[in-house]
Amino acid sequence: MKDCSHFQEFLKRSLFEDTPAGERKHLEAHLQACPSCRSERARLEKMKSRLGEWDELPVPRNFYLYDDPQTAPQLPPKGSWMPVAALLFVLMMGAALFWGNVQLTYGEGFVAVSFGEGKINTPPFTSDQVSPAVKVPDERDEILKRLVQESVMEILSGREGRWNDQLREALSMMDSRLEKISAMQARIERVSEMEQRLTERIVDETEELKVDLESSMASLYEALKWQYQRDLYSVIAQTNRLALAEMQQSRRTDALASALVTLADVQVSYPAESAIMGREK
Amino acid sequence: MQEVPIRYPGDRLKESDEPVVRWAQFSSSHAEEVEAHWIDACRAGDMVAFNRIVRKWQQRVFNMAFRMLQDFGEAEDATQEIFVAAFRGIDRFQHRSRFSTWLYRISMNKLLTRLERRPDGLLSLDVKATRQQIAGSLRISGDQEGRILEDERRHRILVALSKLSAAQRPIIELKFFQDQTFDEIASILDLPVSTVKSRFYAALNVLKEHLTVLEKEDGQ
Repeated sequence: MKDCSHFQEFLKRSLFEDTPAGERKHLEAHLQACPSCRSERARLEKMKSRLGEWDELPVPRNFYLYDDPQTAPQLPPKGSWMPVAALLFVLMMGAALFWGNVQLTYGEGFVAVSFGEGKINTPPFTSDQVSPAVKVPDERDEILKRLVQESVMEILSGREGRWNDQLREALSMMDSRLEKISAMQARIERVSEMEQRLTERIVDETEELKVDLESSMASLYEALKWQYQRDLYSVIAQTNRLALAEMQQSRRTDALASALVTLADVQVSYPAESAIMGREK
Repeated sequence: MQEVPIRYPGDRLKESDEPVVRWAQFSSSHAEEVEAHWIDACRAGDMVAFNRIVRKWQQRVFNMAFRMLQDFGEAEDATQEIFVAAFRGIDRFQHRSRFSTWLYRISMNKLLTRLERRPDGLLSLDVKATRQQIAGSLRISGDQEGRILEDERRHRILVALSKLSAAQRPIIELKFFQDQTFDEIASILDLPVSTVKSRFYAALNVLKEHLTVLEKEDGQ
């Protein structure tokens, strides 16, 4: 039991890889023998898995800072306001011209700006006409102003950031693509390496096959040679036998011939007897 | 042991909130590189970049705050507070540690301050209210039964966590739910590693007891 409390401390540590390797071995050996420590370990592991069951809650809202002007810290303005003012002016004029609410008219020695219901194509004033000065802005001007203000505010607050963002996004995308490309290159390299290895193997195996083929051809050749020799021997034996038979035949013919010759000799030497013998017959 | 300021070699070491972790202890992944870009942009005054950081971290931070404080509304406030503090202090972050380590440090400071400020000392868990809050927050998931089961599991974990002391909670949180190493936890909480470990193992005993007790109750 005294040992076990010591090991249970180890158990907890081993669950979080906080034990040296030697101790771990020791602990494993003890676990084999001790059922109570085994059940303790099971309990610890169960607890660990239970804690892992926490499923992340969705956020109740976004915690962006600039959505909430009260909590968002104000950044100090940077650079000169001149470009911004110029942009504002150009934008206002452009928007106003676009919406048809501002009209630029010119005559001899004056330029007039008119707001409101003016038409673009009115002919220029002559000198005796009274030029309409700046008219009182109406509701449309109010809407226009608001629109322009909003768009300018939007530009001031967001656009630069968005451009930066887009740039960064594009950069990160490029980065990831580059990563993909390098991964692909690595894969191609691996494939070509494999191909080379395969080719080598194929060459090796071809070589082996060649050697095999040669040896089997040699053995086949050998076998055929033997077969051929055997056939040859049998043919020779047959021929020999035939020759022997022929020889015997010729010997027999010779013997017959000699016998005939002998008979003829006898007839020559003893013609009387042979004549008597012939007559008597 | 050499501390290498990797990004701004001209910077002098100053008093800062940033916990110093040896460079060898972490290597930055691609995601962390991107995050470093965001941080630099944010330093240059780009609020949208900080929103990206917020979007990346808000769920984690909110869940962490919720587990630590065990109060839905307070967790929401604390999350906002943490991000505001991070934004205010972003100039002090010098890439000498992981951004996550720095953010955890800020979070733990804020959350522990909130826990200490509570009148009843600690850590009460208003079971009914919390359940309702969680149920309300789960309108996204469609499966009714799975929802309830998830809720059960979460609730079991919350009850077990509520038995921990204020000193044990952040350690369990960082180790179990944020996967930090003991060294990282020590630098986040400014404690010696040995203290972190002893508190962690003591907390394990508490958790084990309560999780198994709860399970028995559930079983019956």
